[in-house]
Amino acid sequence: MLIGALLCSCNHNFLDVKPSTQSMVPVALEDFQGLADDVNLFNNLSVHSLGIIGGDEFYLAENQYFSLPAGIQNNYQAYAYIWDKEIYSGQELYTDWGNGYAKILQANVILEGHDKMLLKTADKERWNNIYGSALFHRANAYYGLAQLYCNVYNPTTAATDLGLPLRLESDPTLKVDRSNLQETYDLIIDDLQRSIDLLPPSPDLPNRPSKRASYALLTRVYMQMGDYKLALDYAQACLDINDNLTDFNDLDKITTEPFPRYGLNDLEMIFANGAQVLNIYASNRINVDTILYKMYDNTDLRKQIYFRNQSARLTRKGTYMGASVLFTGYANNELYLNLSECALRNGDKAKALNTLNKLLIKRYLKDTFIPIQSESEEAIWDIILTERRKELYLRGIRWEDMRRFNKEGKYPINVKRILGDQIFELDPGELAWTWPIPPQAIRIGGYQQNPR
Amino acid sequence: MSATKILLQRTYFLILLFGWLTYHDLYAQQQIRGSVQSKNDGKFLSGVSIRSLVQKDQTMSDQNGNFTLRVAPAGDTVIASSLGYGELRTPIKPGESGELSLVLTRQDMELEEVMIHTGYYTLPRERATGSFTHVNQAQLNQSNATNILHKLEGVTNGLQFDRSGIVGEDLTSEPKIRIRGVSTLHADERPLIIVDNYPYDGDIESINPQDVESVTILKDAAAASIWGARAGNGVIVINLKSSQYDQPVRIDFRSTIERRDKPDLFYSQDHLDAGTIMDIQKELLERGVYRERNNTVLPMYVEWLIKLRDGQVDEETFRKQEAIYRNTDMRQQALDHLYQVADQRQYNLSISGGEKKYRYRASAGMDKGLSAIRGNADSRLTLNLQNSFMLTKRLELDASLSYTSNQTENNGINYTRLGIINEYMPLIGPNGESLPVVIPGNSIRYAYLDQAEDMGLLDWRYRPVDEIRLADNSDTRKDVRFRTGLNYRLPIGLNVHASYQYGEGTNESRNFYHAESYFARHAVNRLTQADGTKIVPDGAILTIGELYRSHTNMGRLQLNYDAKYFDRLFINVLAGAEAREGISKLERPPFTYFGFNPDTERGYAQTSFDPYIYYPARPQGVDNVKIPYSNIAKTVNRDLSYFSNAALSWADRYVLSGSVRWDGSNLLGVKSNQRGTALWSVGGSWLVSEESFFPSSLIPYMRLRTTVGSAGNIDKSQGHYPVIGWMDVEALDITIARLEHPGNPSLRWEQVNTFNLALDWAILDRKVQGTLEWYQKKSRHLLSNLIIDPTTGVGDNYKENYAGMDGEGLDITLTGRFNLGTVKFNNTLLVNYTTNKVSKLSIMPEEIITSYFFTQPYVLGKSRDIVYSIPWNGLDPQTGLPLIYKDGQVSTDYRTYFNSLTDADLLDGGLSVAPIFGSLNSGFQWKGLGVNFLLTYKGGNVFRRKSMEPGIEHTITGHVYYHQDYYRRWQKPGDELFTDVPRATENHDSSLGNTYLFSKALITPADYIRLQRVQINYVFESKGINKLGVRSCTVFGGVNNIGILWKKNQQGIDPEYPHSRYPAPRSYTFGLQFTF
Repeated sequence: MLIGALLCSCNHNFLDVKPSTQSMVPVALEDFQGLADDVNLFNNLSVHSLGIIGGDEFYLAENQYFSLPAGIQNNYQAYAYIWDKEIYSGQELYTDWGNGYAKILQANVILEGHDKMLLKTADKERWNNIYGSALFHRANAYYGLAQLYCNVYNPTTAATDLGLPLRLESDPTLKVDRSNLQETYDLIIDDLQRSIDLLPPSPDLPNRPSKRASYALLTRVYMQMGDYKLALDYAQACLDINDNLTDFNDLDKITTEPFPRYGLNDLEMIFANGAQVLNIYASNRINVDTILYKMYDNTDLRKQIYFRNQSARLTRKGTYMGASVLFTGYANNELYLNLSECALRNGDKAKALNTLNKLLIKRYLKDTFIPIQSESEEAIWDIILTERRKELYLRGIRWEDMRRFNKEGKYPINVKRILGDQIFELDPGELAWTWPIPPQAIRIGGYQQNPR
Repeated sequence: MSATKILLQRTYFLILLFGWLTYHDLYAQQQIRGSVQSKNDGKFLSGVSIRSLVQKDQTMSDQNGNFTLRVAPAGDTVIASSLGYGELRTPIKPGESGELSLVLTRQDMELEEVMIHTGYYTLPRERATGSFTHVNQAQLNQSNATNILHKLEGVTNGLQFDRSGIVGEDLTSEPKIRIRGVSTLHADERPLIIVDNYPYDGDIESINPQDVESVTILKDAAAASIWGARAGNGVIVINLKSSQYDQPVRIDFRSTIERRDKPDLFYSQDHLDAGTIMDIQKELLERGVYRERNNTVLPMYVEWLIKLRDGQVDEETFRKQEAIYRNTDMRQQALDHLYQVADQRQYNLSISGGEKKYRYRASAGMDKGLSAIRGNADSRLTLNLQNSFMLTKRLELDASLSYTSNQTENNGINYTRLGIINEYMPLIGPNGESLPVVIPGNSIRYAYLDQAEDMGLLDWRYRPVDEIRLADNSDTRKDVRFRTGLNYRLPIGLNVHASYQYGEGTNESRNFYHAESYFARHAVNRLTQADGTKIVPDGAILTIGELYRSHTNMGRLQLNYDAKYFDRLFINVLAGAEAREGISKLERPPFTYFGFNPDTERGYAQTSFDPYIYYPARPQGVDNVKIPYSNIAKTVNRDLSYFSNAALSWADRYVLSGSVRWDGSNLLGVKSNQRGTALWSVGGSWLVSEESFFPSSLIPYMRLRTTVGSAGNIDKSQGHYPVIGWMDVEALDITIARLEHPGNPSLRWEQVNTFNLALDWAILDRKVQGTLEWYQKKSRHLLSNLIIDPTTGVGDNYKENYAGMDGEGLDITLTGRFNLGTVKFNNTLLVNYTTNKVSKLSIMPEEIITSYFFTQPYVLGKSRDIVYSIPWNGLDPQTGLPLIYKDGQVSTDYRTYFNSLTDADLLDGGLSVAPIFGSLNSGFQWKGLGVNFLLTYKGGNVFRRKSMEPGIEHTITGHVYYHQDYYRRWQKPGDELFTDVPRATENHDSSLGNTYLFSKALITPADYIRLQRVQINYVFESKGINKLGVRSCTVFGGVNNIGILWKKNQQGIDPEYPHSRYPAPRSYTFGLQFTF
């Protein structure tokens, strides 16, 4: 035992050696940069699918709905479309929930690797960049999950509303229970605030996070929280770095892919992100909401850039992601609209209109746009609400907006589905505005399920 | 006349050689009288060999046990020995006369004599509470194997060899070894091997069995837990030979020759006759199945048919060739030209001895083997040196060094490699010339190869018999181990032992392809450009293979305390710590020379070629210069252990034992509570027959033992660190990393808890004795795939220490020894029963039904060895196709039927590994002659036999699936009464095939009894050879793999080798052993 005591002292160092020095285990800065750059996870699998499916931007004809392919990964899409009480079959792994937490896991791996390696490296600036990226990726995933699986943020109930399980370590064997909604939003804000200090103002590549991306997300967070003052500040901070807009007159109106892949060199791009590719909102299945389509003037270039007719069916074109992947990232056009709305909410009608006009002039056929001049707050509200729908079509924002406006009650929105002679409706205040957590997570993780 | 002369000369030489030893005492001598008695029954013993060590006199006791012997007057030692009794040495003081009374102990009846080696301590079996199997020198010598583990088969209780995984001709591959069944799902199943008191991770072939004194198998927790976290699969302790102080010089020489029959290529049923194959091929050609393209390999008969069709050959030549093919069987061709009678020779020389303060043993072994496949050979050289010095009365230093070099040559071509596509092709022509064959799988049609010279290329044909001598591929392993230890004995019964071992192993290969070899010619031709430019230069190709090097460093500090109180209470305590580090690395990537000239040793280094350039290749497409490449890699394993063991024994009647051990490894989770594990055991035994109430006259010996405790296991493929993989994203021009495995910071040891209950007994004057052991194993924290909470972010391929497995079994040993006149019979029956069941598992039920037949997924509540099958209803009497039902109606929609099967339709076909196995080791000894038989048996298990897949022969790759059941197929109504083989179909439908191939009809019982070997030995211990200085001489011979005495299956399949091309061939051994 004496010997034991002697050897015990060297015990820890002796066993701390990595078993394999192969490049497979991430150790170097480049390895973590590679993980932060994992576009397939962080930029092509965003946590917006259920919101897009449940929203009012497209509809499926009866035959399109019932011809959805069967199988575990498809069934829940069909049930989500009619906001069914149970949408999952039970074994879904790669839904918004799983995808969001896959991002969180990888972000945590990067954050932990950084904690271990920072002292040993000289290249502190690049490490900061990687660390800030991981914080942004994590916050972005938690924000997306909160919009689907938690009630809309309400300051009076946030401390008691169910939040998300906040996994801050990569260890998959750890058990973490659901937090409350306030804690969830606190974490998102904290991660973003920390990331701002570490990230460069603008990204060198559209898939990489930056100060602008963090500002853009903070704007959305505070708009959800109802703090339009802070939201305004962050929208302004974001546009202060770069307020470029693409003139749609310069775009090719014929092609089905009017925007560059990943928004590479796109003037408006802040952070490229795409929704998971799902059958239900594939461009060859959906019909664009007809009411929405009618809102576009004939001189509005978005009518040709966003939409096309495919065999007598009105469908969408390529997005800011280039291909037909739905763009769910951050771009300047959204920031203009956020800034405009926040300005109006803070009583600055001139700024609201001014901002809106700067955006819209780039969207209309050259020399056809007449800047809007209105003194009526109601009228400006109408324009802002309409323009959000028209400009941010299928961006994953509509679901967040509907929840936000329904909470505020001034402009309530309800959604209606017609499948043959069946009619489904989702009215403001219904429990179905919060999606159920996959049953496999409930069963193994033991979380409290959202009431439906 | 001349024979007498030679004999005289030899005798004279030997007298000269040994004369000096006896010379100085020749004239001084005295006589001593005495008697020999047996300790066991008090009878006087006759025929006991008595000799004097110094005087070198020799005699035998008479029928009353008396003898007279000359001894040296200056003091001598009398040595009495007899077969079945131990050797007794009695010192004679100078001038002592008087009557000498010698008492010999019968050795074969003694349990006490067996010493158990655990690697940490040695104890008499009498005081062991745990479950050990001891295999002694005599049992090891029954087999002639060059691999020490193979010698254990059939003589070791609880140890099973499973060969059901052997496919093709890979018979030399290591069979799976299970000690008391299996205790893990995904982690390493192999038992821990201890050599020279340290865990051995090297190649077991590096251990020369002739250096092994005994082997001890540690089976239960009390036995194995001293090895802690690596002992979950049981432990095999290999105890090397050593020497003693004050031991006269002993020289042993042993030589063995083993000849092995050529393998039985006619065994495998994956075969059709030449005529049948040719008929099928002709039909396929007529149906237009073959694509006549340069990059499609066509069978040779098809090439001939095409030549005939296209008028390139006349009818007569074709007929002649066709006749040759029809009368050729590649299996016989291969046996004649590619195989040989295997020959294995072993030579061993050892010398050992000891003086008062110094003892030593040196040994050298040389093995040379010619494989059954021509061109394959192996050789092994082992050198060992052990030295021990008594530095002071209390301090002993020992140092040993061992060196092994193992070389294998792999130039042979086996039958399997030629493929069934060549089934009717001769290898040697009428004039003895080597003939070309079709090369399966290289995507070049023979008709194209045949024109190579016309196209200005090198000859492109492949002639197997020539190729054997055109390659020089070798693989060399070298291992060095150095070990040293210091032992200090304190007066109070305390012993301090410090030891250290360093091991280094290297492994490198060299592949040389002669300029005329197909490999070199193909490399040149493939990239010869249209203008004749050669990208790969003419000449030989030499690849100096990877160099792997491994180092191990191990150190141990151990305290032993042995004491005796009140004359009957024995206390043994030991405690210590051990640290191990193993580093293995690929030190040098391979390097290739093209256009190599072996005479000048010059060639074009691989650096003059760019493997990233793709050239137009022949016959089509593009290709690069093939340069073998591998990444430099290194792994480091570290373990740290603390251990303690204690035993209390009261008059050997009551024994109480216990052990604890803590193990840590750098492979395991960073969370320190998982990094290490503490394992323990307790045990007790009670010698019931010593109690006064026990009828010990009836049952002279009975002991009850029981133990409980735990051991561990680890899966080295799992890590607690995250693992990433790389990929390029062209759109962004970046390289991204994907998290392939998040790492498992909570990775921990698997744990195997064992309960053991044993009864040792002896009856009939200890002539019949036995051991009955029952054990129960509960494996916990087994790594397994898991249905995981998606909230973890982990996908579906993630293992955690979640699963559990239960097992139980019986180990029975029954030994009977009795004499019939002077013939001594000796029989040992081993019976083993073992089961296992997955008791805890959380995986999604496998949805793809065929997975159950290929990968055997684990199912909760079932054995992990289950062979699954689907129902079989026999053949439809009308169509000869499998009968299937859909909604109660006979159906022929096999696709719908097979695809609609779910796991609920599966039948448990049986177990793939035998739950019952054992052996009968039976022999007799008459004077110097010993004869030994070994019967082995297995039962209760099954295998899925192969059969004919209907219609597969009509597909272009159908020859891969040929099976003799084709001749047993259904051909007319009524056949379904005799056969389950469906009729041959026009087209291949895999669903129809699967309906039959995975059905219950092909689940075949694997029970068998086989006569494993017979060995005969004769020991010369006569006065005559002793005079020549030879202490003893043994001549032995034997036959191995004699054959199956009984098997349950009727299909002619050896159940031990259900999937290989042939079973292990019979072999014959002859050998000599001299001891000087």
